[in-house]
Amino acid sequence: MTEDTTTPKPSRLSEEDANALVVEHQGWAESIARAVARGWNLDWRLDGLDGAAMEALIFCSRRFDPNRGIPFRGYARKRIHEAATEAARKTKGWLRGSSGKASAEAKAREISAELYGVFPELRDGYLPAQESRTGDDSEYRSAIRELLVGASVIATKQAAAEGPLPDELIDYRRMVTVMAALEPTHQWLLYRVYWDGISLRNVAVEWETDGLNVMREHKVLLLYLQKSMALGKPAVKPKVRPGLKPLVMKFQKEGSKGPFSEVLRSPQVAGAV
Amino acid sequence: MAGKDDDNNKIGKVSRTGLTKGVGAADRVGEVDRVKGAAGVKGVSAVSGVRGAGGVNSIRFEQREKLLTMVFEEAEKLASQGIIPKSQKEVVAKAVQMVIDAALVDNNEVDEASKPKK
Repeated sequence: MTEDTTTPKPSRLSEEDANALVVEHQGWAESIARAVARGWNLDWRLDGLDGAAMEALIFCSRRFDPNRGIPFRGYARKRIHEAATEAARKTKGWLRGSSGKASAEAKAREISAELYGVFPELRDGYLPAQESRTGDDSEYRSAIRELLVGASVIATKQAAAEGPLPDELIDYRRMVTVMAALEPTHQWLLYRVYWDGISLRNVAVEWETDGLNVMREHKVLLLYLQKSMALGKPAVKPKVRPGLKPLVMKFQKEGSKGPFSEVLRSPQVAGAV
Repeated sequence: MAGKDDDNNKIGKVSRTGLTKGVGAADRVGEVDRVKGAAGVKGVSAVSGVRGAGGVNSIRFEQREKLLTMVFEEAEKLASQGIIPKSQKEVVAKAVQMVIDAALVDNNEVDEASKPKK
């Protein structure tokens, strides 16, 4: 007799139970849509965020597997939030504003939307976790600094893509110089996440390594950026953690110096300042 | 048996050894006494060294004003230290305020919405 070792089929709720979930959580899903609209100064109904949130709620109710032991809200929140933010990005109001304050707001919206890709835990209502647990405001402040530095990297990338103004070009060069001082593996990590918009988890999958390796290394790199920008020159570069050593070998074999080292050699950036 | 030479104070020849007796059967283990009066756990010290990568800094809607103010204050500090460029300060601070604000679900709204409509 052979033992059945196949993965058990996920169990789904009956249509009736799934509908009951939708009714029970409708108000909650609408609140997520309202939060997204409030954050980005949009109208949750006129801009269609309510519909997107409801669609995601219905989708989740059909896919929810109660046997996995995850509460429904824990399972659905990220997906509903994602649906509402995607709907927001498609609205006419998203890129509203061609000059001055309105233009700054549109830029800020775009940066914040990209921040969700780098820090997906925000969608679940969490700030990035800190290594030291103090349990007071300093933990929040440290997480906020991480977000600010991440936002600054995204702003630099956007300025470069749009053709930076002269003062932005100086800032861009400073940031790129600091990043170019890193090991190629670290440069690629920042490039894949901030320039290519790939999540840390997906970078880990692509690099065939544990997600924690990439997430922890990303934190180290944000600290390095903070230190270096404060010093006005590259700080002591962090070592590549053992879990990512195969990548070091790979980039060495390929002869890659890192994407930012390459950018620094380009005439546009090299000529700035 | 060993013969005794009293004059020279020496042991003489060994005549024969006695037979070894068989090993008797082991007795059964008796009942174990009940554990008496273990003292209660007095206290648990703090867990140390647990470092998860997932977010544990949960944020609530009630903290909204405080968090948005913190963002502004931290952006000021980072800009004055040169960590974020001054040209980016406003837009970067606004972006982080937006991303936090859009993540704060107001549970009072949820409770209101789930009340039966009259």
